Amino acid sequence: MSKRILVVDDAAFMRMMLSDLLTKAGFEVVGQAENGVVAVSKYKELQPDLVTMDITMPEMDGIQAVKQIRAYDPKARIVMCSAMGQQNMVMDAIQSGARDFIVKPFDPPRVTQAVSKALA
Amino acid sequence: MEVLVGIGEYRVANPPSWVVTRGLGSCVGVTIYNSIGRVGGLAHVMLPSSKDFRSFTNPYKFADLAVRALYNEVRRNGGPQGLQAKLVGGARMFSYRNEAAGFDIGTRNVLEVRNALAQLGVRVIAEEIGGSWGRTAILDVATGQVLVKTVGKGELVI
Amino acid sequence: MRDEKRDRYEQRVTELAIAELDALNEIGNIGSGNAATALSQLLGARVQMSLPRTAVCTLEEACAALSHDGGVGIGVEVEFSGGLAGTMMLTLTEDSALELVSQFAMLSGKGLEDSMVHSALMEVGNIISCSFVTALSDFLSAQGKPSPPMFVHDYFEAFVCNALAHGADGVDEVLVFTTELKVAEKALAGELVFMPSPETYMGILKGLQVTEGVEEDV
Repeated sequence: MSKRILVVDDAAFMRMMLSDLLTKAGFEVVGQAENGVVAVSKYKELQPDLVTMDITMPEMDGIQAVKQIRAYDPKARIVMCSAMGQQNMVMDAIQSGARDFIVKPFDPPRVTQAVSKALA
Repeated sequence: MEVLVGIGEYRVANPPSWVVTRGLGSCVGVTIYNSIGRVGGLAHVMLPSSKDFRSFTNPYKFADLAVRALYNEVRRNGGPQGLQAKLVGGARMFSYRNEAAGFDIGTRNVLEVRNALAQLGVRVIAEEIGGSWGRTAILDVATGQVLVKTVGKGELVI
Repeated sequence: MRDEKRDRYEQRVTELAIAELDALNEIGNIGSGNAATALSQLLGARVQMSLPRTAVCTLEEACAALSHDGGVGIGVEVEFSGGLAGTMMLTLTEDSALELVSQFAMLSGKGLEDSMVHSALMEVGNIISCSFVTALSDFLSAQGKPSPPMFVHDYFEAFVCNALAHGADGVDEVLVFTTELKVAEKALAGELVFMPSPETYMGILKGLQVTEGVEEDV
């Protein structure tokens, strides 16, 4: 059975691209969220195997959302996807509990590899 | 004749002519018109107050100094009687994160222009301001009417 | 900004030497190089960015230079806060925005009123801006926190002026980097603009002095 993924990004276009890429790689995208608040509630509702999480979003940013999801489910598997590749943002993300960090724009093999590794 | 007013400039003209300024966003276009002397002008204001700046080269981009200069020029050409003002612009083109309601540049520009006009005793008789879209203003110096154009939101005369 | 700092900034801006402008050009080059690579990956097409022009000018001069003579276009703005603060903006004429979007197969035939096209342009602006600032961040050892991108479709003058007035922070002289884009060998009419905040601009100059010192030692 294919692994179930929740895609979180404030840009509808990016959610579409990522979902397309993940679906083609054999994953099942079970839901999408456009900010951290929706991401947390969708996580609880859908119980996905993995979340791809943008950082800069309105309402609640990705780092806060990771902390809340990890507080609810310490085993949650999350891969950050951000256009900012600054060292401190990567550190923040890893410290808050993310498994990996991908800098946008996406290189499809890199996404597939990071997602598979985080699911292993 | 069409007289073009750039950002931080003002122009005064007699009929038959049109004083034009393009693409007002948070900027405010102020017209002062003398219906008796049939002379009018327009200023393109970019920032609320020169007092926020320690130094600058062009004073006419600030509401306080531009309105006064425009007033003096219109008055010099047509006398102090019957001066009326109209305001166009003062929009909020972007929703900035750390900008409390009413503190955006557009709103502050409008407030400072109104203040400056009140101090000079010039009545504001019409406004087409606010929102989140740009406006082009064209003052017909023969009538004092201002044609306001937009991108995709039609046009109107104030 | 504190007055003392502002005085120093204004003094620095007006006394900019040619050598410093060259060095600033180099900074712009680092940023735009990274941004071009990122955009090229996103579009899957060859992207070229011109060497950035560095201008030190008044706010209204900057607006006028970026206003496309009263034309209409799109703008995507990202604000950066923190140690590396400023405004980044991608501007494009309507034709060039559509040209850019046509690079995405899934958006073919869609117009500028389409919400997915807006989203794509926002993401293009976001990725270019963030990669530009990331490169500067590495170079200057300072961090910038981006806002979500903001989209506008209107007169250039209207939104460019608003962005610059918002970022001015009481200083009339601004440093603006602009660069032009070529996608798949086609020149786009528009600019990528970076206006550092006055404080960040001071930090950039400080960073440059360090580099120059190192070069002198060699």
